[in-house]
Amino acid sequence: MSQFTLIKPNTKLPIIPHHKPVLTALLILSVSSLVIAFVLGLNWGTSFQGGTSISMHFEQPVATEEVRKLFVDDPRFENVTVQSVGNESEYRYIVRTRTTTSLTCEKMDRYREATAQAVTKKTGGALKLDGWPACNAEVEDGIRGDFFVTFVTSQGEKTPEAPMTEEEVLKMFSKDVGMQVAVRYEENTHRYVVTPMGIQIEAVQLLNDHFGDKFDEKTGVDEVVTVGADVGDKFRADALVSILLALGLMLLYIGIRFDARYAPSAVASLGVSILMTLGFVAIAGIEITLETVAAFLSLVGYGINDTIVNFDRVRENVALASADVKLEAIVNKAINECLSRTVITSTTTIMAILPMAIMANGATQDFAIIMCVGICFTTLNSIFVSCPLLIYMDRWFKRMQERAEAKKALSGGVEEA
Amino acid sequence: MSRSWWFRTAFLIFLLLLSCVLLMPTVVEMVLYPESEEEVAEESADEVPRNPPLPKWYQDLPLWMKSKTLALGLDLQGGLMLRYSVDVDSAIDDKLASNASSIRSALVSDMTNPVAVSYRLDRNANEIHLTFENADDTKRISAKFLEDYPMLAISTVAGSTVTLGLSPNYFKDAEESSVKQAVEIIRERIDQLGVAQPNVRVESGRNIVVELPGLSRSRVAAAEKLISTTAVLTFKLVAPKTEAVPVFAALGKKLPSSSNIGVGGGTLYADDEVDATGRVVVSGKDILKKFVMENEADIPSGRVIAYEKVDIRERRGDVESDAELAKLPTRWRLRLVGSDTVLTGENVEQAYPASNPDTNMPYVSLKLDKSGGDRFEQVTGEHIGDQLAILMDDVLVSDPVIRSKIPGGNVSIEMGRGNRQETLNDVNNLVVSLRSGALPAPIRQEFKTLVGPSLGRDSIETGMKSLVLGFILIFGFIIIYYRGSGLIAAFALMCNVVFIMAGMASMGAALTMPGIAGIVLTVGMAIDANVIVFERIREELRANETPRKAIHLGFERALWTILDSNITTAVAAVVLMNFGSGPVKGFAVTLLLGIISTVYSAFFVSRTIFELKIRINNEKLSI
Repeated sequence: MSQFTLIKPNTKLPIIPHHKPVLTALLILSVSSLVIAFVLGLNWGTSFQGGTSISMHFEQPVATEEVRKLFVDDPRFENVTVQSVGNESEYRYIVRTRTTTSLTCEKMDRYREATAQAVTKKTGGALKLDGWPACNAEVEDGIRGDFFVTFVTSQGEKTPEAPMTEEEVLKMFSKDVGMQVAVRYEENTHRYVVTPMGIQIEAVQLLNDHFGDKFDEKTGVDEVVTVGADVGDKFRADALVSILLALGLMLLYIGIRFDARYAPSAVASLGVSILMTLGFVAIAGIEITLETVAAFLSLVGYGINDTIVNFDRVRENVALASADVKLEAIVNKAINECLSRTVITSTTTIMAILPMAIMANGATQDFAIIMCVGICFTTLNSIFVSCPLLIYMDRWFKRMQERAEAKKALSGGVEEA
Repeated sequence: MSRSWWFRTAFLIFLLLLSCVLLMPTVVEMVLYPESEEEVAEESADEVPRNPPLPKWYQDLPLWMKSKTLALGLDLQGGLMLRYSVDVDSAIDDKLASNASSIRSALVSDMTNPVAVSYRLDRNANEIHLTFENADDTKRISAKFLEDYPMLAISTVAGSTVTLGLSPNYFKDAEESSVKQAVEIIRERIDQLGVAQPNVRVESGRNIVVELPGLSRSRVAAAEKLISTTAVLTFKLVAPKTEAVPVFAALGKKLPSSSNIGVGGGTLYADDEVDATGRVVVSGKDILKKFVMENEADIPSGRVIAYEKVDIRERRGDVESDAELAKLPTRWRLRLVGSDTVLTGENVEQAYPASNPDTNMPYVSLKLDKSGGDRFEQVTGEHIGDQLAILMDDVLVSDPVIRSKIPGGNVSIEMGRGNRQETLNDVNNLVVSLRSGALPAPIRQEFKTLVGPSLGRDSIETGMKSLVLGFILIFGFIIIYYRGSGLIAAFALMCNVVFIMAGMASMGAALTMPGIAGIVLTVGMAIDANVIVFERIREELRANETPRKAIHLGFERALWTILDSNITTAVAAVVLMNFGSGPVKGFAVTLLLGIISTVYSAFFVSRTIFELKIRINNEKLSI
């Protein structure tokens, strides 16, 4: 019975003899990808960059442009982007901004002055502002969450319990200082706990004022993610470290399972694939989110398979071949033998993911797109990068060996003399 | 058939059955009888019967069979997300105050060489200023002396004043440990909610994020209440009556002519306002609190107001029978207590309910830690005849009279405030709060959002459709390409997916969108394993091997190739698991499970079927 085949058995493509132009092209492509990623810059998501992302939906259709204009024109939202997500019928949007809080250090300084003035005026000089949150390099992106305020008498002495009622302080903040807050007095610490209205509350107010019935202030906001710039940096470092760590551990494993010639070739080819995919991500403007990093790490895990399968066959054939057969020929034969498997596997995996890349939304779609593109690259590179590199590594090893032997012979010769 | 074949077949059947059992609760609760999303009035918070009810046969199953369901993650089904911040500053303030008064009394009541000293707290700078009558006595504050107070270090000595500040790193350590403890406590509390796959994590520094996927709207209030019961327990001293009565008399004069606050018994009181069904509309405590806040200036410094439930037995005179007594709304009154904290809940090592054999009234028995016990012994020694105020937040739960010095750190708190049932309730609440809720620092809710499925129902549907389409494409391709063997591969693949789902359900993991992506990737890997084997078998067949030999060699030679490629992927998955928060972790877990089940499916499931096929007909192999 005939077999259904994509790649005919006994295919003998002269891949290794003609590898040079392809290898050069791929290497140039990967280096230029890196350059592109640097020049264009990556679209770092909220988790990595710091900022706030607010997912919301409207009850009735609104024009995307109208939502965008509303936020872009408001100075409280820095570097704002508005993206329509999900299906058309859902009127869902994600608003992203660099702002994590409406309270920058600069603003807090202004508010401090206003508060100090207001309290002196209100109490006829009996009280003055004492405790105010420090805004410095440590909290460079401003104040997030609650902060504490205390008052002392004009002589700088501690006040009797609760120098002002919560309502008075609240009124002072909203009227004299111009700051929307909630105030609570803490008896045991003699402080006023001030809860500033977060950026999301300001966003809700903005939407409510502008859109009215089209936006439900209670249920309209689906999710708010706020990440400080410091945390973003940490995430970024973590992502890079995990990818490098994964590569390092693979280098170790392949080094042990195969030998020192195979491991660097395999890992280098993977590195080339990652750079190329990164270039694609930069050009496509795909947002770097935690899911995107997961896609890259999966690519690292999955992409190595093709190379392993090829190398496995190379090793098997080396053991079977007589000593005078050149490695180039063995590798070429191995590639051809595995070609059918390589093509089928990549095809099926892409088949599984492609519908997701086309149909799904948001992070899942990004994940699927990166995987699809990345698998194409890893498959290509497992043939045109890892195999030639293995040959170069082998040659280099042989040269080193010859040199060492020559040296040994030389030093041996000296001894004899 | 060989023995090993029978064994493998039996094991496969066992695994499939096990998977079915593991997935059964998920199928019954989520697919066959999904909980209706109808909204229930928010107030009827605590117990809402399930709608629709689960079938009888399912309810009758033993609990272990239905304890784990494969829940959908927050991104797929929505739920409640809360953010808290831990108020470390006020916790440190409390500790500082407790340390300061402890140092003072250690110096003042020193047996051999007492010294006269006073202290002042600077709460903004977190400093204690000790002022000695005799400047020479400043030497008493030595490094050795401070060994008992590890949180403190000498910052300056000027004349007769020693300034003690927080020891280096203390603030950071305290912050870290408070946040860590708070996370654990919240986790414990959430477990009582029985929500599948709750997620509690530290977000940045002091922020704690709590995610409760699938929490129905009707249970939000209950969940919030459960989490934020801070119940900071403090021990203070009750101000003497001679001082309290005039303060409350002055306060009473400020009451407007018509007020729901009453004056009597040397204090002010207010009753809970209840509606027709007996549900509390406004708590008497809140009425009082509002009034006290407005008149804060009348409270002398060094004193704070506490609120107390009036013992129902004290009100016998108000009504005619005990039956009517039980119907009275709860009455709250004001108490004046010292602002200095003697002990905090942190000093409590153990708390358990006990019962007085004479009166049959329940009480709480406490065991204090060493430093708390010492301090308690000292304070009770100094204040014999005074009343101790035991406060949960600002509510006075007990005010025992100190009859003698209490050594050894064993304390009983009697809570005779009402009938036995009510007291028992109070006792249990206190014990629970003390055990799981002896929070190291108060937590403050910063943000709450009821998350809708972040992708939207339509989007999830398209996601699912794309997943199914992917499967159909793969199955179609592999069956067309490998014919009969393709069918075997497809069956192995199905087993694989079932195993992964069952594995996730048994771990109580949630299915998130990244998790689904992980399953898709696994399917890709599983296909790869099959393709490697099949291509190998084809090669052997082309080399004119018999089908039986070809199958044997194909599996044999593919073994290490498949293992190597899966182990390298597992390496990436393990790294991913350590990198990721929430969703990424879910993906890594799925991938890792997938790798294990892929290797098993490829080598055991498909191989076992191949061997069966060969036994039946070893002439032809459809591949």
